[in-house]
Amino acid sequence: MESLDKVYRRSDEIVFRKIGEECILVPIRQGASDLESIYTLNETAARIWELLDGTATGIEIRNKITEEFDVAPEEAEKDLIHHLQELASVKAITEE
Amino acid sequence: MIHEEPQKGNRLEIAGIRVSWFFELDSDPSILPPLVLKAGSDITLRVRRHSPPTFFPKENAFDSGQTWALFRSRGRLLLQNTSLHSEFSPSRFLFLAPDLKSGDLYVTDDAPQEADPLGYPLNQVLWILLLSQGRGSLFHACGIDDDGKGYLFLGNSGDGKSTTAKLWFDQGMAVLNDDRIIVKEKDGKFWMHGTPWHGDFKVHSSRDLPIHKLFFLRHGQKNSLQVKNGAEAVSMLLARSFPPFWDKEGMAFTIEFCQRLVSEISCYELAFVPDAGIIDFVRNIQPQAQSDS
Repeated sequence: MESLDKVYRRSDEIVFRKIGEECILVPIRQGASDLESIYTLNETAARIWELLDGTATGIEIRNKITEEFDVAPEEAEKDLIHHLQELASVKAITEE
Repeated sequence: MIHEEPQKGNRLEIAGIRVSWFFELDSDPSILPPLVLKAGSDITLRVRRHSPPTFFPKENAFDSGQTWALFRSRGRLLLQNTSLHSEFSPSRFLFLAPDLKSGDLYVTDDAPQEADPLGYPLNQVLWILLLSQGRGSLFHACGIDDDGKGYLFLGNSGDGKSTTAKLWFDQGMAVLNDDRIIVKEKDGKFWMHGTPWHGDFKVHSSRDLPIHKLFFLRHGQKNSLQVKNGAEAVSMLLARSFPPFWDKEGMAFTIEFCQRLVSEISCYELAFVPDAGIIDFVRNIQPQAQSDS
């Protein structure tokens, strides 16, 4: 379980680009075994990705998402934890 | 020192990218004199027909798992024509300068003699490297010249590229290639270029022309069309491309290039039935087709 008390940072091994409201992530790789892994983040996930700059805690990110997307804190927290878990599972973020 | 004789030179040009090479005979393998770049070429290669000198410590950059591997060695790239997992020993080694303007190719005695000393797949990987320097990208695609209208059909293995090539060829249209197409931007337009690599369909053309429409192929129960754009289209393009997955800068360029491509060219997912009816279906697509039709 990812903790919202911690600070997370985008991995240097990920190339990303904002396209409209979405964002594409492509991991830098050393082998051909995982070439299908190109990730597309929706608007909320793309904003979370932007905020994962190594300075804000999970709680601070949740608060920003709550403000910007007009969503209840509980729902924002649930979504944030889900996105953090997914990003951590593909090594797209590191813990500070 | 490099002498004019007995060097013998040659050149390969694909998609406007020129690779020149010359053979350096009877040279001491431990000596690498300065290499004179050939005018008008993007990269000049010095070819030596013997094993390479002992490698410096090297870092694995990318392993294809099958036919090639790429290393970094003291600022240079080293490309060899086998994977680290292969049961065969490599017979071609290409050392590339950091700027990719020059390189030294070592071809061992047991390597097959080919008109192009790089051979496949080193030639294709070299083009991927050169394209990623801001020139364009290589795609898993079939290119059709429909009397001046360029249709680019992208797909992975089994999606119908060779079937598509044959259907259009049988109607008298030119096939640039049924499996590997290079796309470059020139004068504000995106151009597709034929390549000599790979593919089941043997009648290829080296010509180039602007892309009119772009299709993501798949087999279907009927011919149908769905517009693709934005991040979804970029992601579909990347999944059908040969980008430099090992290189952050090159990868960033490739994503940005794909974004510009899908913003300029109409993109569709095309489900098709493999008969000649697909040709009129494609020709009659209306510019604003938005959903299944």
